[in-house]
Amino acid sequence: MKKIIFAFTSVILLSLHLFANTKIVDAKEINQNCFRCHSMATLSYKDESTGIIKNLAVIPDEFYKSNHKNLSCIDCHSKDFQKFPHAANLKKENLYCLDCHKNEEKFKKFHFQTIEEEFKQSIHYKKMGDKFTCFDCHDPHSFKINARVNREIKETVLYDNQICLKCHDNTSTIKNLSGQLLPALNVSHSWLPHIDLHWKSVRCIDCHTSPNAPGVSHLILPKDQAVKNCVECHSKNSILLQSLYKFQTKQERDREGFINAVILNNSYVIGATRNYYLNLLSFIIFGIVLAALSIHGILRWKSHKGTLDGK
Amino acid sequence: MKIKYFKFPKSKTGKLILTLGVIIVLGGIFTQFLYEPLFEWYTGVKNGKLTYDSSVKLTDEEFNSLAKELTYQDRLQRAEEMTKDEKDPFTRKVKMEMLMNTPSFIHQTKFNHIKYFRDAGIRQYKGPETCLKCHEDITVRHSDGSTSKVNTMDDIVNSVHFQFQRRAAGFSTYGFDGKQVNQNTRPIPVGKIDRACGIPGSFSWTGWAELIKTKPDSLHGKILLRSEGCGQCHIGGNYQPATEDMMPFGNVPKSAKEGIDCLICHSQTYDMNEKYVIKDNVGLRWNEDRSMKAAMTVTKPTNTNCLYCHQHNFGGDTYSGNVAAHNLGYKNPRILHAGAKRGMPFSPEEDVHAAAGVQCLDCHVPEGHKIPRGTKGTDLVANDLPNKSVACENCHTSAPHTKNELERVILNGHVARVACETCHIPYLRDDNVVLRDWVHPTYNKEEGMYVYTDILKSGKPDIGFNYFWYNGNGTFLAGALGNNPNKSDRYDPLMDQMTNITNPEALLEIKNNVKNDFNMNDEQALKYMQAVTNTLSQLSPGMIAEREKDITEHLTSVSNLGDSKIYPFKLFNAYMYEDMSNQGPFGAMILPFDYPTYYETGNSLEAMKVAIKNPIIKRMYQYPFKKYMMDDFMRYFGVKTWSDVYPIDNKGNLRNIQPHWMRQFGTLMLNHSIKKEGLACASCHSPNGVLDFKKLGYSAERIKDLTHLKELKYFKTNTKEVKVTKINSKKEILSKR
Repeated sequence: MKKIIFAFTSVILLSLHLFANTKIVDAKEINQNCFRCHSMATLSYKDESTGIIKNLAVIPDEFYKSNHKNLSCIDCHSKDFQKFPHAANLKKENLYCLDCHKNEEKFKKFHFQTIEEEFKQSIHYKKMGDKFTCFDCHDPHSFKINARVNREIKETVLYDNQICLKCHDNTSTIKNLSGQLLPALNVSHSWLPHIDLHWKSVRCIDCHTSPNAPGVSHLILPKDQAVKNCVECHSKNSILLQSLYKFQTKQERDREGFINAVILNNSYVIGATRNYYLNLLSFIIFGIVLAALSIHGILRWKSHKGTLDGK
Repeated sequence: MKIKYFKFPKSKTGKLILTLGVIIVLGGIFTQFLYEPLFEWYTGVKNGKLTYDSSVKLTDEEFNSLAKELTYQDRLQRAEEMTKDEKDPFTRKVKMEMLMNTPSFIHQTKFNHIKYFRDAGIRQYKGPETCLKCHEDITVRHSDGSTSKVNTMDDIVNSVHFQFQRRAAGFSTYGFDGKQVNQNTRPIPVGKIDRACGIPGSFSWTGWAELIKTKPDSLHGKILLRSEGCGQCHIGGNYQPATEDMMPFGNVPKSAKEGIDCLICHSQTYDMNEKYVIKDNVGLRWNEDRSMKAAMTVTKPTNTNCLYCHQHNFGGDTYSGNVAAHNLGYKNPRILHAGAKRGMPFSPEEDVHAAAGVQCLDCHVPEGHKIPRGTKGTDLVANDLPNKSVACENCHTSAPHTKNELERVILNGHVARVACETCHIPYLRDDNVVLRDWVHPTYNKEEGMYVYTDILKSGKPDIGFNYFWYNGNGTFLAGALGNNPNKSDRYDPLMDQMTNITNPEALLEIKNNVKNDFNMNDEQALKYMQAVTNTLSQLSPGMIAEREKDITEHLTSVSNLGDSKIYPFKLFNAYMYEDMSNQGPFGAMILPFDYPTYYETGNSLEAMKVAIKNPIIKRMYQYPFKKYMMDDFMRYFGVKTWSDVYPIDNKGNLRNIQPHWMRQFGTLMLNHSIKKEGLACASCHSPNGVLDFKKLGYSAERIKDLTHLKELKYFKTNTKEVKVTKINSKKEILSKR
């Protein structure tokens, strides 16, 4: 009897397992048809009105590593896309992240609602309204939530800044979008010493959003409200510790132990592990060396004078 | 009082300082006075004061009338434009005359140097020294936006246009030992200066400036001297290329720098009829147009300037749109070379950019006198700005197609895998040379001389050019490197399509040409064809095994670098004498020909013998040169060390020399002659398409899909006639003989 029950449960469990798997396999199969064209990395066109190149490619390798990897294309997109050539009206399809991400319990920790509120107050939304969507910055086909947490800071900076630079690095694109010719980024940021270093180490959003968001702030501020005071970052209570370095702080605590990380984070150049007591110590050593050198010099001068006088 | 001028130092430091001082003084004397004559004695290099008959001093009247003549068209056009509202024809004529002679109106002409010369009292053009009077320094704008001030003469002397060699890194070329040329290895001078080539059949040293006695039929036995040699296209006007710059120290002497031809690149009235070989007390060299007229029309280089020389390797010498070829010289007319290097003219008729008036320098944006040739290249040509991109997408973006909503997207999709050139250079001109036999010359009655025999010329895909995966790198013998992004080992061009000819149409043509040119019967022709249609048949089984090993161990990793795309490449092979003591699995050192002996006697063996008696070739077979560069050169070549056995022994007999075809075809990049209409979808996506998907390394399943695309019917361009189809049955063609 036990054997029968065991066999029975195994069959049920196995079929459940298979069922779950077939769902993913099905998705892959459906996607395969789309990927016939959409895996071409440069599948794109130049938008007539904005002049921006719209890329329609979904790179399978990246997609199957992304957060949405278990979805099939038509879970989000219209089923009519399965027909080729695609009907013209499908172009108007309007997808919105919050359609899926709003009310479910498991998405709560990502604060999608807050993000939406912040976004609605951001300069992008205020200037462009519904023309500006989540997808202008985030590609749902390659989006990885972990990317930011697990990566080296420099990689995070590069990744995040690339999102902004896609539009903001190109004066003609910006002119098409905003109607005005804005100065090039290195000109508008020329007040910032060592621009290149800053851009490699700090994200655009670290200065251009309001801090204190639960996740990454989506409240992109108008330029006159951006951080322009060096001390706001270069201080013990740097605002960067709340945003960019938040995860690193956590990581370091995990890795180095709590006390060490706290000591090492007590630094005035973010990311540098400079410590008050070590600073003090090096000043003292420097002072001693200086004192020793001058005493040595004086003594030599005196003794030399002595020999000359002796002659 | 006794004054001691010199006291031999007793202390150790004193002795050391004295010795160092003596070495420095002797070294100074050596480099200043002895190095140059010693170098000339050792290498056979010659230098002397260069004079040019066309450099004539003008009187003020001559200058002024010339100025009016040169600006006439320009002034006329502007005057016509300004008086176009004047109804009365005579009034208009009078108005135009007045305008055209008004000083301020004259000064507005595009040739602003006329005014400069007039004001500075310059009435004679004496070469670089005249230019440098004002342009001693120039400000160079770099691609990162920064600027720097450089000495103009140094800038040009250190450019590839003068030196055609580089000792620094920056070659997209990998040796068969897997090492990138001059990258993290002891650098050696590499470039056109020392790279033998089967297209011209000579080295820059052995064929720099030559006079050939020809007997054209039209002159009934009279001799006509013709000019020939590499020097016609290189801006140094000296007796040989910039050999001094190949050495670890030393530079070309001042007299050689005075031979630089500024005007061929900058003058809008340069007279190509002044380009011919002249003989003076020192030797043979190329004449230049140093007339005041040419100097007065100096501007930034235009397409005309670049194409005086570069049309030679685009459209070729016998292309009707080659301007230089219509002005062969007042004396000793230059020899025109039939069989185009690429069959790919840059001209309004053949290239969409030339037709649109795009200037060479619009894409090849210079930094001072350094002109970029792009980051890619297979041909071991030195590159002044190896990191500066010259690419279609710099202007066209990555989404270049804009017509038809459905098609533009899918065409742009191809950009990731297929280079623009692949579709937009659908064919080359028919005179594109593929196979050149230097060993068996044929007599050309019209020219009255022996010339090389081109046994295959074609502008068709799969015959004159073919498609390869390419990541921007090339082998030391001009082979495109790359791999199918599926990274399979199915794609192996160096063992396959770069080593054989299988196209039936090509085979038939070679056979017919060989039979006609060399009076061979079928059997002889087939035997002759064996080596060239299967170049690996010239290698022993041991060599072939070594070749396979070298490819897998050294080149596969290079082929898998970066993102490869399919590019078109012109194919070339040459039959030349080779020094078999320096043979490796990829070929042997090819030996140059002496042009006069070759053209005049048709004795190719003797012509080769004369050429290798050139002092610098002899020196290549001696110790210092072996260590300084030849060993490294051969290492890149796939040969362990350079054998310094000179190919002629003391009795004058040849040692270990054999004629051979190169062991694989050279593949030269094709980037010009861009056509607006590219290939149609079905040109490739059909069972008989121009792309051989199997050879390109696709799996059987993928090939089936690519050649039978179910979506194809929705694309309009598909309905266009497929111009290029391959003939399938090799047997069918061969049996038709």
